[in-house]
Amino acid sequence: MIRLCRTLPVAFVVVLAAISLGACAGAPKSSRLSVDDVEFTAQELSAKLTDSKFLADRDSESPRMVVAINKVENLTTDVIPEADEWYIMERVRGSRSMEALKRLKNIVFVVPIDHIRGGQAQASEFDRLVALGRKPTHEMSATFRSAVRSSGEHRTDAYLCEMRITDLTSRELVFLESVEFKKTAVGKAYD
Amino acid sequence: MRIYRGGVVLAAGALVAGLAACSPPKGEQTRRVEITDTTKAERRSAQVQPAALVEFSDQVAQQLVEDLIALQEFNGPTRVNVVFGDIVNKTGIVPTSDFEAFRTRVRQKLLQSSVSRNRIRWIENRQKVEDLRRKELGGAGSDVNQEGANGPSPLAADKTYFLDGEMYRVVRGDDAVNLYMMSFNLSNAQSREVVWTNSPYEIKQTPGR
Repeated sequence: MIRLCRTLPVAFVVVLAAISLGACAGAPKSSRLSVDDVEFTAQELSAKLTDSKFLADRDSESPRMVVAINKVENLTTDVIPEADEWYIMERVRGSRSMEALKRLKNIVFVVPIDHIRGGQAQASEFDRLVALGRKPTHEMSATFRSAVRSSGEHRTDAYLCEMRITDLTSRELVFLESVEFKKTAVGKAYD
Repeated sequence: MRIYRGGVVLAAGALVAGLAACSPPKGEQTRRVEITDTTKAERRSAQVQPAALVEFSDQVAQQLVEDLIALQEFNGPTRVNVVFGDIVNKTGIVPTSDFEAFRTRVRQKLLQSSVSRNRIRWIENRQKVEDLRRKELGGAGSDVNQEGANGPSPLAADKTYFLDGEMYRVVRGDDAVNLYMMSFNLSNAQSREVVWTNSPYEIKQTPGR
């Protein structure tokens, strides 16, 4: 009887521990964009811009391009923080040395309009004058889209991030590249 | 007695560690999968598979590049303008945004082809560029279709084409069989004459099999 009293609590705790560890074995998987995915997207896009025919075709004699950048447009079902949206664009812009782009390709970047005292809404008269002095000829931006497929506990998100440089005068797309990948998920995170 | 106490402490520790590892119930991040791979969720879904949309967009781009040389309208002295047009989505269950996402692949593939680049100028949506111009350049000359000091020359309607898409689904037996048919065509902005259409892409899906 004493032996049984001693072993019973131990067995109980052991069984509980086994159950709790067993529950963790089937932890839900998420198909949401991770930091690694954002980093991967930025890296791929900057590599594609660096190797692009668009840049290869330009030289110091090409017509001057003044490029304004905008943050990534999010058309996915994910919540992408604004910092991530800027991170991708800034990372792409920073992939080539500004000096080399200016000297060899006659391309200059200007401060994003949103960075001039938080955009038009809060801008003073001076800020507006500064903004007008930028005179961009092109705009560089990107759009993140996704297509979701789900069945039971399985879910897949196909992500496509398209980056483009648009001529603001003619509306022509002078550069366009994209990064595509999928993320899969199993289970419900709220279970 | 010491062994008995040690066992209880060890088991309790495992229990605490196990419970701590389980909370909070966040989804673990998974690795990226190639866009052309078909996953379990996609196989079991009645919606058109993204891999099929990838194949379809590749096929449209390939076919258009091949046909461009023979198209009289696309072989003039100046490049023609192509704008994204409408998507007719009669699938009932696939969001139009899915088709829009994969339509951009067609444009991207075509911009990579020198045959297409020498004949086509891809033009961005007017509203989008007008918004951008308003934001970047202020009010003056913000209407891209108005000629002026800062405005661009308007697009010549006879040299402008719309890339329109049509997506249909034929379904039988409570989603047991789904036949998708998708196609793109190019029509002139002035006369609305269809000058090119791709061979319709068809895929039959039987979810869960």
